[in-house]
Amino acid sequence: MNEILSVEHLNAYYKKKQILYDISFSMKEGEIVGLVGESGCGKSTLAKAILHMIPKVEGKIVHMTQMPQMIFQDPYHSLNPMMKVGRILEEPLRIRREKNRKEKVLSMMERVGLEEELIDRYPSQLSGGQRQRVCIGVALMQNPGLIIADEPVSALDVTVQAKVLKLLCALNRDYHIAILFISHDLRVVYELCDRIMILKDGRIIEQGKDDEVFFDPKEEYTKKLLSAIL
Amino acid sequence: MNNNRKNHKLYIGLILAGLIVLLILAGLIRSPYPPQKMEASLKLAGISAAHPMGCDQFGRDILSRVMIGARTTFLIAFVTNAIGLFFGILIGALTGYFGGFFDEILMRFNDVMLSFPSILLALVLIALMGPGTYQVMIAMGIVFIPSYARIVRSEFIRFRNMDYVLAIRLMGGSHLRIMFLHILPNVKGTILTSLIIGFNNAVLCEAAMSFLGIGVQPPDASLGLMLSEAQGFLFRAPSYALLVGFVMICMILSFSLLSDSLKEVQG
Repeated sequence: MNEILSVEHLNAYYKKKQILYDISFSMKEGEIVGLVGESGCGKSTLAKAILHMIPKVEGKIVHMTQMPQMIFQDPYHSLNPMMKVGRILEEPLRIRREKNRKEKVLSMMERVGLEEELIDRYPSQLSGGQRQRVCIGVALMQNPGLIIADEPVSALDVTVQAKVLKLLCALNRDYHIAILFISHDLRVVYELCDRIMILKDGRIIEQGKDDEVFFDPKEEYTKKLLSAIL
Repeated sequence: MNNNRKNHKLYIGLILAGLIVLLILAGLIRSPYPPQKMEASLKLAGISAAHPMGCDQFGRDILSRVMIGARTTFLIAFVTNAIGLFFGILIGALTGYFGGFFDEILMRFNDVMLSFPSILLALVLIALMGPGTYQVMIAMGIVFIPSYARIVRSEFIRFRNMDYVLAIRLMGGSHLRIMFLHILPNVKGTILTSLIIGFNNAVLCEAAMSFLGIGVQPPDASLGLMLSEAQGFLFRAPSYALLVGFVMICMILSFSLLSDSLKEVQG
């Protein structure tokens, strides 16, 4: 399988403080990789660095396909509050000046499991799960090879979490989209991901197949993380 | 209970604003007397059926002059705020969204402008351009830019790092598209309330400048100018000053009531 993203010796800084130290990893097409770490360890910074959204970055980031898309943690801030759902989903099409936008929006809504009548709602009239589906729809509109999901379910109820995760799984299976799944929840990551990376204080301290990391952790820190959930 | 009070404010504000607008519209169509027509026999005449607001020191009908004057005042306030808002949004959006060195420079300059009393700054500009209705509009417009720029800038700073803005960057949306299609509509509520306050400030500022004799020049009429003229006859014809003052108060009150109820609806 082809590589879709490769990151080599990445250092990232924020306000003169180094956040990420010498990060190297790669992702293949259609792979789901979990990135786990405590809050403040640099997970979101890594996501933004990959998307070139941080000015001070050293190292090499190579995207094999077009720009990856991102799904954010807080579905309450990731949609324009003044735009209706239909318009939000249409925006990427408008930017690319595509035709038949209405049909494409409707078929996308069906794909991510949103009822058709939600098209005229504002984000404030949707539930957290529905909002996150809209976000996923917006991301899919770009036909990305890779989606970076930054804690996509942390702000949702447990029952809704499962549904959104299922949707992400289905997208990965049906459309072969690679997902970099960022989370602090090892259990969710184990369920979903093919590979796991553990991030601590800006360094990747352990990475490997999900079973290896989960059942045979090498690092003391990983063991601690695991014992916290078992 | 709370809802009731909000409605009162809204209704009173709407009624007062309606009255003022009616007065201005009536003056546009036809005032009872030509506003410049002098009648020596009616100097400082009191309230009568023929002259509901009396006559001024030259025997001109005050109601007619209030109609024209309110229009001038309204127009000045409108143009002033249009200038202030247009450039304020432009500067505020650019500095707030992009930040950096350019932002620092402009905002320090902004602080300097804001640290002067606005009337003083307008005075300096008038001294450069000479008095007159259009000069007042331009001078006050320039003076109003910094406060709008500041408000718009702080809102843009709040929105520029929101996730949905980042998402649109990822789609390849241009900066201009983000600024004016995705952030500005979210800021319009804040702008609207400050616009109404700005409108009131402009009415007061115009009055002050005309009062000082550097605003609208006689024989044209504006509320401020009439008030300053009336001051000389405060004891001989108190109704002159009181009535003109009353119209101005109605104008200001209507807009602050509207702004208040608007804020409550939003908040």
